[in-house]
Amino acid sequence: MKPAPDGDYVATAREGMGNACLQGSLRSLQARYGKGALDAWKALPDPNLRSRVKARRMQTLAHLDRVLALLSQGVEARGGQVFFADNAEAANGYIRDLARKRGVKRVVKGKSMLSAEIGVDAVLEAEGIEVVETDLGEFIVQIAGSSASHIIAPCIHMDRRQIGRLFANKLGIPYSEDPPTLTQAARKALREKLLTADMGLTGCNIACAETGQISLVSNEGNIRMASTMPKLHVALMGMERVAATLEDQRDLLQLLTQGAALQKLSTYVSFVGGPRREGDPDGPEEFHLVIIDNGRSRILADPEFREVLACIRCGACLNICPVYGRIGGHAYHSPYSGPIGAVVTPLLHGINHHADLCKGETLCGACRDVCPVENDLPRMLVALRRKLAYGDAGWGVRPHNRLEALGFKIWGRIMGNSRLYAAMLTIARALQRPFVGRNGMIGPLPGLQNGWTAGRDLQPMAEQSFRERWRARQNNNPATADNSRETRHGR
Amino acid sequence: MDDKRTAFLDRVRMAVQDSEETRIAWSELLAPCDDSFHLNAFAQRGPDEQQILLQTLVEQASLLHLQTHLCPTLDQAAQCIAEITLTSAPEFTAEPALILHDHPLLRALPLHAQAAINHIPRHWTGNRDPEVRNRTLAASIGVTVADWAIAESATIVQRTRPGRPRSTSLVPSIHIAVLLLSHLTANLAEAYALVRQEQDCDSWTLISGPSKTADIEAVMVHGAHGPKAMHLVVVTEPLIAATAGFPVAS
Amino acid sequence: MNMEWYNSQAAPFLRRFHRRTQALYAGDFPCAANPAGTPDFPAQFPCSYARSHSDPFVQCLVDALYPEVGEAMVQVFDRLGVPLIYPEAQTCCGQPAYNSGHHREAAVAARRFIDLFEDAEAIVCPSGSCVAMVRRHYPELFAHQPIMRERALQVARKTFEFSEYLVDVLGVVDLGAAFSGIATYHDSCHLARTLGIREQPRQLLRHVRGLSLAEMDNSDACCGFGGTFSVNYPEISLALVDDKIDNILNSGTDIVVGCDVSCLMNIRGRMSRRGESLRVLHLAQVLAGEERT
Repeated sequence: MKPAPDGDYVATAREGMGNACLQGSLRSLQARYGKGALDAWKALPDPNLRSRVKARRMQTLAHLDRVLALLSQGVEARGGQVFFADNAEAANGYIRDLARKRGVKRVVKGKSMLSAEIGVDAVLEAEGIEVVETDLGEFIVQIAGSSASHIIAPCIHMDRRQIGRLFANKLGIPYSEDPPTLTQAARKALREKLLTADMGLTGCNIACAETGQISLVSNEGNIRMASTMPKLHVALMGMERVAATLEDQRDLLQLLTQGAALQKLSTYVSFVGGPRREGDPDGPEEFHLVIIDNGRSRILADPEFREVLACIRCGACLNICPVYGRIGGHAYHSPYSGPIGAVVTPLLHGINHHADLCKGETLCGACRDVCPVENDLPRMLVALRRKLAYGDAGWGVRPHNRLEALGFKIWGRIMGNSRLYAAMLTIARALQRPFVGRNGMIGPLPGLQNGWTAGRDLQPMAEQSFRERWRARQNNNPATADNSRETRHGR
Repeated sequence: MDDKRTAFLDRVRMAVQDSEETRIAWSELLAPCDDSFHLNAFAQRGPDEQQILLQTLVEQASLLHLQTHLCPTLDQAAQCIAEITLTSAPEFTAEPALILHDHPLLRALPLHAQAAINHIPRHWTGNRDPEVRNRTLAASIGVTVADWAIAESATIVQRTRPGRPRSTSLVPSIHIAVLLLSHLTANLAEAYALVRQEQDCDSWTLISGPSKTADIEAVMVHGAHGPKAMHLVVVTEPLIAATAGFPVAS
Repeated sequence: MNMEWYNSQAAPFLRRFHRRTQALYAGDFPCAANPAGTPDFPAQFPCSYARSHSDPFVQCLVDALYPEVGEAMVQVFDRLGVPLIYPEAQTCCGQPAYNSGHHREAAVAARRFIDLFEDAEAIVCPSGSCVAMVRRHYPELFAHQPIMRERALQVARKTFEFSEYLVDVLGVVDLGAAFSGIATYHDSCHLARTLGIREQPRQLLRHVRGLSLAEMDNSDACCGFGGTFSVNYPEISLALVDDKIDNILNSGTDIVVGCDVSCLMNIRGRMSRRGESLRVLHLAQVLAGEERT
């Protein structure tokens, strides 16, 4: 897929909210899969599974250098090749050089958000190489010239009519809006590509250091095809996507398939660690594992954010987030959307640049409840907001909104002094009088308050605050033995 | 290349040096799992329990459009395969054709006795078989043996072995997997324990039904890129020694 | 106060509670409402609770915009015979600054709260989000200042949300309240998720004579307030509150009850603009039996 185009969170969110098809699809998706995942965790025979798995993830991350060394040894023992890429350029360079050397003309891809993160498609296409997405949803957004809007269901923002027109146009088939017919058309079109490609480019769901293999998860079979039929298989792996032992891999696998689509297991789970062996009639002749940093070591080094690397990219948080459920994935302008995207995208690609992602949520905590590895995303969003509030040298963050900072400085002064606070109430009460309507509420206001009053009425200050009323009652009703009330006076 | 790797891993090591005091020991992180519980459960499973697992397998399979066929004997299994072959229309080719893993269990099936399918071309995969790719593409049905199956999730475990390629269960439009009932495990943990016994396991795959997708408006469609239909033929009665030296646990 | 009611209902509850706390006094009583079960703030009840005071923290929004909610809470405590000490210098718990990342300013508010309330025996607040702030985030704010952190933990241990205090601490579910209507209950995010308080408000509502309770769809879906989010991202906020209001309207009720005035302010503000007349009330108002809006 193309890397998501850069753009404005608010504007794209508005488009998403206006997309009736998207709204309907997300509503159904969230009703079924978001709630479903919560129910699945409640029904786990071992209620401590997620905590245990999280603890293992953190321990694995704490040993990540040795875990990666062990993984690469295992892959190499199987005849595979491992390349450690510091960043996107290094990864792309390696893949491009490999493609050149082997005379690759056509690449088939399994779904990989990492491939979008590093932008490898454009690099290969610049070499005149045809790059074909084979996951149905990714294929659809690819030929539509769009980008994915959900980690698991990439073309959820499109309806069958749009897809029907797209296929009629690009695949030359008679128009149909029947999903089986459309799927069949894609099946035929992509089969030929899968069987004649020179290179299969996949991601990696969960690698396993103990066994020296990666595991790949799919329902469509495209990833199995892409990793079996072409002569070259290149797997892209974010450096944190590795389990220490096969036990860990199993736990993570089951949490992944449950969290993603409420499945006990996806239709296919493939384990590979090297090229074809002596005596294998098929399988790739070369297997390359490209382990990518691209900003992850910086996240790893910060104890506040390290846990975000425990994420297994199941997408459950997207399926429960009320904000994502309304604005859709494109508003995040990143391959990673939803709550996980809101945290990981600024950390990888710039906190100031993605300030809206840090601030544009309500911190309701549903994502934390549903995360299979118990990631506390709201905590990390607040930490990002703190950096935007004051700046941060380590992460290269400039203070984001001077006006808001000033506002809170003033707020701090007022809240720190009850006389100032009382004075503020008195002033506000006086100022608001002309704006209070007949219904007792304040209607649309220009200027700063417009954020609220554009769509909502505003409750005015009460004529007497609670404190004032309390004082008044105390004066009128002295305390009795049964209902004693004291006032503690203070500054 | 080595320098890149060293620099990379050094950077990672530096990133986590704050946890050196608090993290568990390396040896503890990689402590081997005790598989004996699962291995014993598998080895000691009696016929009654196996029947229960079989029941679970059939129920779970039906949810995934995985068609199960319970065949007491090898004869009936062969008959079943013949019936499936006759009732499946080829999708990508003009004529039907079979491709089969060269596996003792499949060799032991009396397919030659199934006259109705004698005219249908049959190719057995073999070590470094140069014909395999073409024959796989020409086949409408791929037949493999499930090394194990998992009742809880209606999954088969398919290990890649010399002469038994991955594409057989992937490329042809229909996949038939043959399973001995004694190779049915209860759950993923049990299956993993068995796989882990095979030190030399190269690539392996878990398959739970035919390929599918719901990418278009969340409507489930079976038959994405892998097989559009999958059959699991379960040979339910224990094989007698007379079936030509066929090893039960292969 | 109705002495007959007190003698027949409240006093036995308080005595039973007293016996309960006697039994628990030996160890920490894990805060029933904290699902995360962090050791940070297990609640500790001295056994003299039945006669101890409760310090209300009414919340800045209640103080300034909805004082009737604070008054309703006081009425409920009066009925139960819980003596109150009101530190009148209270302002804000600091949550708006905290959630926006302005932690230095939030710490100013937090210090003030701790100064004002640390001598209290129990602190009761009609706002789930304030209580979540005190319990979960005050210790975090002072993570690198051991003395303040300890003070924060002490305060956190005795800070309760209103419905939690009634049900889990005082052991009361029936306050002899009366309020006619069909109500639906909105689970605010911090109350339900951070504090794990979902059942207590419902138990209290079920015992209100004349009131029937009907659940709305997605009662715990966020109402879209999110503090400064509602002002900075108003369109998204409106989309969420509209969903919430649609669910409320579809529940066939004439009252929506909540335990957090921030949510209620958001919901009521949008309802008002939409011209909906459904009543929006705080739990305390229903329990006080006041038909005030």
